[in-house]
Amino acid sequence: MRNSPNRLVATIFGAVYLLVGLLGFAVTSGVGFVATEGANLIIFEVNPLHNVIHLAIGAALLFAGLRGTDTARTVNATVGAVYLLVGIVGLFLLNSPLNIIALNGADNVLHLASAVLLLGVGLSLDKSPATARA
Amino acid sequence: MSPAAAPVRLLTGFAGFGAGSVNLAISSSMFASAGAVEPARLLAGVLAGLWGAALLAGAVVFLARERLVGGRWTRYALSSAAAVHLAGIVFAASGTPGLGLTQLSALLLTLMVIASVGWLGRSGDRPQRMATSPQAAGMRPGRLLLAAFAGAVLVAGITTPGLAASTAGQYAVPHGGHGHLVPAGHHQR
Repeated sequence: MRNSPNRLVATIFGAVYLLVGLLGFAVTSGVGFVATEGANLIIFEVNPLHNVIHLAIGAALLFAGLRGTDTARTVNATVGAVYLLVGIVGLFLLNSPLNIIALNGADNVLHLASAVLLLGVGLSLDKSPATARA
Repeated sequence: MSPAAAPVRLLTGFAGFGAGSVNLAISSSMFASAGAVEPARLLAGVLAGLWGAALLAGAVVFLARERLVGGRWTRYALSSAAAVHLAGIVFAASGTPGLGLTQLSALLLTLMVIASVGWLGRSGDRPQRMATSPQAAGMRPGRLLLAAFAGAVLVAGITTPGLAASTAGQYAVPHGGHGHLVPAGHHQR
């Protein structure tokens, strides 16, 4: 695992997302599932829906990181692409809950950084020689 | 190949994603502000949208296939785009409130792509060698990932304010606020 950037990224990000998802439930007791006003987890505002999303993404990434390089590459690229695409599609769906990327704040910087990092590492690193020549 | 080539290559792709996203936000803003009697603004919106989509596709190809699509023509297009963004800032040609910051964000990201592509060209980057593993690029995976994370945060730090300043940013749903629709023209943060 230590020689594969994709497995490292998937494992680290998966563990962090899982931890954030679990800790999120500790601070969102009494908060509605899709409540507008969430609760603060350190500097991140979360609600139970966010916790579930964090858990799902964390589980997928951690599973992929532990399973193998090819799986990690695929899941990294997929999660990164979905993050980025949902945000970009949201730019054209004004006044919609899908418009989630055009925000300011440290949490959104980290979300976008996660998206480009996962997509970039998934697309460009740990390629087999055959893939690299394609 | 220089050990720095692998993270610089990743940074180029990250900046391409960021520049593409910001150009799509500019396109979205043009469409949102354009009336039926403003064909010039509609045309600008279409061009910004096509350029944004091309940047995103180009970044994917650059990272996956490790080559710059279009060669020197892409360099000319990038330089032209930088000039257009600069003109958008200096002359406030868009006329859309808040787009100055979005144009500045697009300009910085475009310059980042131009600079990193130029650096890779001068450093004699041989893509096929880097493709197989980070060791082939002369860098340990942990260090490569730290450099990549720093690059991703830098790009996101430039991109996010640009997106937030666009028209889409005025409608955006804040973190933790999904399910709550925002009144038009109201900034959340």
